[in-house]
Amino acid sequence: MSSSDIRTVELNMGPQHPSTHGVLRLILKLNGEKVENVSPRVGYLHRGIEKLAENMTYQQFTPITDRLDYVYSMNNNFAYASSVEKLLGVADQIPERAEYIRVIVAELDRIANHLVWLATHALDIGAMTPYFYCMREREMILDMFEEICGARLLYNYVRIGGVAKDITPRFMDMLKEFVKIFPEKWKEYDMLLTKNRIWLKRTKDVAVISKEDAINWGLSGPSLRGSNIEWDLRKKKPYSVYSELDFDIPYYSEGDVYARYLVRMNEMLQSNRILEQCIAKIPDGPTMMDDFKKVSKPIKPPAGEAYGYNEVPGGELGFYIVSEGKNKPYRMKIRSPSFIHAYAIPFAAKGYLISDVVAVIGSFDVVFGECDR
Amino acid sequence: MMIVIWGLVKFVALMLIVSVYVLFMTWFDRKVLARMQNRIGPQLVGFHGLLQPLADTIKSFWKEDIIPTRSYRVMFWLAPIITITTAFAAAFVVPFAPPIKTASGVFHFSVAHINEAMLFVFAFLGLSSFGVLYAGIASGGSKYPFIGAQREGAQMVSYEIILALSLLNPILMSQSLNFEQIVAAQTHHLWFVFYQPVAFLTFLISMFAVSAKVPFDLPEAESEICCGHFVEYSGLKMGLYPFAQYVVVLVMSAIMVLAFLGGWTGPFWSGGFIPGLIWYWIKIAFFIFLFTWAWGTFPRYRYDQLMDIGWKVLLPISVLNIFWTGFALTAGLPFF
Repeated sequence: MSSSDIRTVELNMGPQHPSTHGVLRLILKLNGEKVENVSPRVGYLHRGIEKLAENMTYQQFTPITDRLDYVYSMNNNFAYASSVEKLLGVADQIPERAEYIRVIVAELDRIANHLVWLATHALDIGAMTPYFYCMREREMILDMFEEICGARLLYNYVRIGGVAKDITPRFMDMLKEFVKIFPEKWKEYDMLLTKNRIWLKRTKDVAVISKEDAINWGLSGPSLRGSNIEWDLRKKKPYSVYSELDFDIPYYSEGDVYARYLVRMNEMLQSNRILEQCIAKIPDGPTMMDDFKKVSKPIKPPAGEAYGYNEVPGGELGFYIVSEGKNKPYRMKIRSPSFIHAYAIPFAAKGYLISDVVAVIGSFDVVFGECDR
Repeated sequence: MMIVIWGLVKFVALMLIVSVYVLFMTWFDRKVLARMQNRIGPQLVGFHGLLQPLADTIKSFWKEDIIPTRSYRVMFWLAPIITITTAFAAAFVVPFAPPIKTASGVFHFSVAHINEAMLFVFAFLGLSSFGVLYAGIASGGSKYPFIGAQREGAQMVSYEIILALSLLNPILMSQSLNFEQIVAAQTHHLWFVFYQPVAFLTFLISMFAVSAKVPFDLPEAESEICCGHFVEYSGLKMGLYPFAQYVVVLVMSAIMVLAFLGGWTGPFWSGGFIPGLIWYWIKIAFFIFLFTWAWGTFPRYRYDQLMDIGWKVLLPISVLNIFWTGFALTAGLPFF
């Protein structure tokens, strides 16, 4: 046994730990407070979702996608629906009103997800108050979702071929109200954290990820944009009606926890901008393609494969579907950002302190429903 | 004989007052935090939840008391006892009201009126970290408590020094370790905060660190090491740690007021309408509120940053400040 073995302590962080955001288990090798090695163990929430997909019809699988990342279920529905539509070749026939509703709920859900992320990230670093401020605004969004689909967490709202129901006038009123007040509320979080000296000390120059590493590790979404890469699927590979909307991609060059924090903070405002435009532009019309109105009517895509991707709050969520021409997919691979980000944690956290490990987990915004699937 | 009886009476009175203070301090903490966070806080038990702390105490009595089989039983029992005893002991010498002149002499509102009061407080605050260290070791190889105890040990060693060095300035200026004489010295001068703003600030920072409150709550950082030293504790034994922490907060606030803010003397413009007792407790209450305020506002520092602040910034400043005070006193600068 060498002297370094005697000095190091193995610490099990998780699966039950307040700041591993679910059931991540990290085995830390500690030298004092310094983390010499991190090895993640995932799979505590494994439910075999990819296998489930092979035994379900395409419509039956939509509610299961809610259970991927339960913090942004709307985006999961959206990504799955657009993947199947791609496979069917009907992606350009979706009614325009449905597309706008999809974008509205996706962006609202993006804000809701980033609010949960900010709340827990701040709590991990020790600031308690932002949590309650964030939950206050998230509550408004959940109320809106309740208004349109009756559910507050697992929506099953965006369906193959459109959306389940049309939005109500009351929803539009709530949305207008939310869009108006959100920038002011955003300033409250900003005031508490962005220029806070302790916050800066805890997040700046922590877990710096270079541009090359970010690409090599397969990061996507805000975690990628923190490392000086301007990449957003909504802009670079526009789907739905994003090409008609005007918004910026916030990206920062530092690559540290603070940069990823700023990216997500600014994304909330950009989402708000998108919502403003959607309110002005949303047309009237049907919200569901006629072919798909009956959920019991089987969908039989032609034999072939399709990869559908969406920019969800966590990164790039993709569904790679192989069809044999039957009413059930032959195989479905889900490319989930959390899984990839969970495996970037050891590289990013190595050599920093225990407190930084917590900050790193928070900065990747991993959710284990999606990671373990 | 009279001294013994009075001592006992004061002892019991102090235990009662401090215990009741801690109970309602938990209510105050929760209520203030709730207001800062758009919440209501305890509301159901009693008027505005005032009886909530009593309900919590009763509940903690009925909690199952788990002692891990791998723990060192004696130390495991001893650790919370040491923590609470030393915290109370530190409160023994702190006066709770201005002294009263009676026919037979002066009546002091502290359990032990001793000339070395300041030293006594330091000694017991230093000892109180032993409770936490014991808890870490006694948990029987449980790693989170051990890391918490490590942090507590390092933090106490670093910040007790700064605490002592910043209090040395009022001690030098008043030539006494006795709280009442330190206050008396401030009636001759202005309050010491005006002479010693630097010592005031260093004390303010180390006050948070010594009582392990946000932003320096590293020994029990719940999001990193899951509450550190009391991970393995449950029931009443666990309750004693926050209890002791609240007592330390009270003691630190009282020392702050006594050493820098003129104790029970009002500001010069107050003209004596408000009695000293009320001034004293208003000032103490402000500092207690400050702890809660910081809790609701700041994130937590990191371990190495805490050490950097202590050893690289505050310590040199405090030492230089003592040199300055010594120079000013010897040279007899105006107002000193």
